[in-house]
Amino acid sequence: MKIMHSKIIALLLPLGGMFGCVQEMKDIVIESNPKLVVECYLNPADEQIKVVVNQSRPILGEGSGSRDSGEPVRTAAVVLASGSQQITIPYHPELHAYAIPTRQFRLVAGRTYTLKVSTKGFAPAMASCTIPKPVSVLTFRDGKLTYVQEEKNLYRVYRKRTLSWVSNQTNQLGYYLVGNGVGNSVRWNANGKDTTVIALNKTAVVAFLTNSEKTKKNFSTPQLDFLVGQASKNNDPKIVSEGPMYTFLYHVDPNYYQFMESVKLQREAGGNPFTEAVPIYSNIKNGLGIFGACVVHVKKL
Amino acid sequence: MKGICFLRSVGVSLFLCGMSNAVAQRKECILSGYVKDTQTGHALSGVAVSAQGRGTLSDANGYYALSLPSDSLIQLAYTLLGYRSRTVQLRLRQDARQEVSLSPEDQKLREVIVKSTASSPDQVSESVQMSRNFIPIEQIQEIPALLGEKDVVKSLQLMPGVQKGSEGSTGMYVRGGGPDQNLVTLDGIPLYHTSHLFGFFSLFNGDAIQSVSLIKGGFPARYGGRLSSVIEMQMKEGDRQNVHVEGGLGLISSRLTVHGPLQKSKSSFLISARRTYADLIIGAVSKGPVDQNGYFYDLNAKLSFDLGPKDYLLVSAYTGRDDFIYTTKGTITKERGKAFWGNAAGTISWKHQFTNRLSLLTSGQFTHFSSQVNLKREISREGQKEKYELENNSFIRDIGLKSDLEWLLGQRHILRSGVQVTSHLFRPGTYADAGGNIPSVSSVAWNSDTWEAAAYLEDTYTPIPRLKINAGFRYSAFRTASNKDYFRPEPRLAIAYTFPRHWAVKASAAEMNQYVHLLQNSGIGFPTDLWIPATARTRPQQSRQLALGLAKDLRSDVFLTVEGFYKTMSRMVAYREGATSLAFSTNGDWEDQLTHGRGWSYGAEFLIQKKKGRFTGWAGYTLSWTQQQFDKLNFGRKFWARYDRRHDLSLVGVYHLNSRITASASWVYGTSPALTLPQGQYWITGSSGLDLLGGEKDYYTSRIFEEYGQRNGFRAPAYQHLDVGLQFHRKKRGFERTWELSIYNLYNYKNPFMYFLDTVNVSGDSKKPKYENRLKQITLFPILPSISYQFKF
Repeated sequence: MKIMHSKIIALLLPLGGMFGCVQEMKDIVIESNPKLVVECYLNPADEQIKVVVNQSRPILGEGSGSRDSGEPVRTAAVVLASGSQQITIPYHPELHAYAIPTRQFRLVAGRTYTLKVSTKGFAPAMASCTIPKPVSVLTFRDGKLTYVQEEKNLYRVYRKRTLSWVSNQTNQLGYYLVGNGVGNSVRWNANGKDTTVIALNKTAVVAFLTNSEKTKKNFSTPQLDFLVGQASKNNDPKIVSEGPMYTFLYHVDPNYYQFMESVKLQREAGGNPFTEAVPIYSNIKNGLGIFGACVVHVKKL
Repeated sequence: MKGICFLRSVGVSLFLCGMSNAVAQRKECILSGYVKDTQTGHALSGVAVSAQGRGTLSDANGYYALSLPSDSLIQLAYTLLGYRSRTVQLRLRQDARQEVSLSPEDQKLREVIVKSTASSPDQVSESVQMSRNFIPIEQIQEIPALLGEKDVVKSLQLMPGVQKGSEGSTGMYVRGGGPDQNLVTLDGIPLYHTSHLFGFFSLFNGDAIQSVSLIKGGFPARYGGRLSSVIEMQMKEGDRQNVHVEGGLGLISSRLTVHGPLQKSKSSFLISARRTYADLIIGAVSKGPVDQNGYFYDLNAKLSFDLGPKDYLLVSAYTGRDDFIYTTKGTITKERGKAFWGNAAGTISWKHQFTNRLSLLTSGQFTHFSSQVNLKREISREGQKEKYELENNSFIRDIGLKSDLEWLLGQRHILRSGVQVTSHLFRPGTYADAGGNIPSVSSVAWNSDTWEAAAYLEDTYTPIPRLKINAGFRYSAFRTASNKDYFRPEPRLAIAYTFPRHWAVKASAAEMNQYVHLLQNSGIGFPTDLWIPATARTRPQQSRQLALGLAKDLRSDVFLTVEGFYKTMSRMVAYREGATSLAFSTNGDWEDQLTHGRGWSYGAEFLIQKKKGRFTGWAGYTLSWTQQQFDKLNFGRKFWARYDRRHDLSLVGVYHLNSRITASASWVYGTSPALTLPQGQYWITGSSGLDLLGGEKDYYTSRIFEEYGQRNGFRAPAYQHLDVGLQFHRKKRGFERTWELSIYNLYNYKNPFMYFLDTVNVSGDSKKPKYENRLKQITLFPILPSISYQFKF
């Protein structure tokens, strides 16, 4: 008897039409305290630490039918801390978010961070996450190319690839997102050192993966299909892409994984009346949203 | 569950102890025989046969056997609700047979209050079995019912410890267990989908049912295969003297039953049919295709034969079918759906009496269930069309053989043992998708040939007259389609100690295993629910239950029971959040759509029931808690089960004003089911961390999400309804007729069947729409008067 399962409604139409009635329930109160909605993802390779702060609104009553984003919370005190270190992150109106350059607050794999957000009228929100340690020995084994027709004279071309790596975390489950994207080399100063990183865009997650045992160090994906570009004919070796294509491995913390998975699942299921409803994961105490972390590895396709 | 282990060892010890004592019994004779109806000649089950503080109940074939001391004058009493009691005086010198016939009494006329001085096996304080409910079929026929359709399952829902799925539905949740955890048998044949009309009426035609009983705990070892309850129904046998016709006309359906002798006094037949007729009326008045239509029917048949003084043969069969179509054509949404499902079941059972002390019942059984559902939805909005489709098929075929041996060993033991083996064929298939291009469901269905077997040994042991013990051991096994074998021991123990003045303290422990699972979308018994067998990955369900209770016979016809229970359930299966389909052909990936979990249920039940006299009825109250935890539901956290209800109260009364008028009423009041409703909503921006979603990031994020809070964290106002009925009887020259007027939900309380959020434009300016969500409730059954007519000749 959860909310409006369309399948049930549909099947009950013959009976409901005979006797049933629909009425608005004005006297039922759904208790809903407005909460802070926080989004922050820590990645040591990012140039910026960014925290988005919004507020939730009631499901019933004035304005409840609006589908817009609402106004961001601009006056919150946003504090990021790790051990004895802490920094207050200021609000940037042009970003509609609180942000600092990553060089102002060092992000280290394996370290736990705490985020506190407070403002008048809301319960203080707090969350913590640990940046996963990068994996080592990332290797791959490639299979054949497959061509999937999209339109006339347009084929998407995928490469079959199996990725393998060794986890450097002890006694912890590993959470991974594997996918593909267009990569560009970018020179960047990370923690005082000049380095070159691959900046990804047009990314897409191909698989959400987790190892089943805490003690298992070696991990291999199933053979997955990664997009390498487009071709005009079936089996045409001439493959066009917007740039060099990469497979990526995001080693994420469990919060990031569960949040991403639930967001994607709810969206995919949300429009379909024949699926189970999906709640969105949150690790924000007294609030909603996500405070997660990841480290990124790439391999050219 | 250390207690279970302890009880397991105690049970085995007591059993062995009992065996040794049994050998020492001397100077006992066995009195046995059949009890029949004087007028119709059909066997009477549940007849209490008692003498000298000992007693037994006749079985489904009317057979009884009782161990009694030899060479003493014995006064035997035979009693059964609705029949005149009979006493027989005799002196036993050796094993003997005593055939008895009982005459029906017109109980509507007389209030009989009998101060109980002697023990009788139908008294709750005298039986070792606890957690058992029995409603006389005559009472079920008199309780007011939705639209006048008498329903044995809905009557059981009024008993403590039993919750219904939603208003009007026949779904049963017993002591925190799901509807798949009830073993529902008709003449011993297990049935899978037990409802008509999307769960609002049960399969069981009240005119064809002779008796119904429910066991919620303290399961004897002869029962197995389900975790939470055993619901046994026996079909009526035909009259062995004369042909009779019974029938009824109601608002929803009509029924006709014909029964009579095949060979006078030796064999009989019964055929009973029921069908709805809304489709016939709609078809007659409509000139074109109709948007909504449907029907259901069922057919019961039974043959019984006395093959000789020691052999008895029964043949029972059931078939039924539901068929529905609908079409809706809204401005935005168009829907089309068709659903049909049906059951067919049959059994041949043969009872052979080797001696007065030893009998064997052997039966072959067949069950078949199939369903097909196809639902299509097309949404057209702002020039864009979205199509969704659900295709769902289910097919089950069981062929089984079972044999049960009953042996009276001395005066203190009743031994039962048996074996059963069943071949299951499951063929589930379901697919839900967007785009309207789903594959044929037959291409994603899965053939699963599995085997289930069990053997048991059980002893009802009476070491001293005040102490009764039922100790047993069941060993069950299951072979999956991939030849993975499961073997499960199932110890059972029940103990009852009777104090003076008809008080008894009872305790029981039972471990149960179940090798089939039901995947549910709705929780109310829709044909889209899918039965699947255990596999190598989806292991059998298991439960352990402890119960402790008090039983008191206040008078011969009134009793009180108070019971507490604690039950754990493990390896339960559900669709995981976001599950869209079970495409079985994809190398077993369908199991990725499932999640496995556990459940806990505990509580207390109170029942005071009066079965005989001018006024009959009961008051039942349940206080209970049911929680579940699944790996992939509610982020792995515990949550209240949908059917968790803290309080549940039922009051049922039937009063015979005189021989021509019967008044009845029932009132139920209880905590509403636990629901998942959104508490709030919020915007997810999808900042850099979600860039991985790539070009589709905006599709996944930058939109409003709903905040659900805890799964099943919302409670609607309490559920309640009062139903009343009046029956007017007339009997003239062998023709009996009854008019019944009844009102369901007399004070028109709007119980929710469902809630949904509707977004409405509250702006007066058409150019500046302003939207608000409104919470709306669907009520299926407001005040509903009905009239029905029954006849018999």
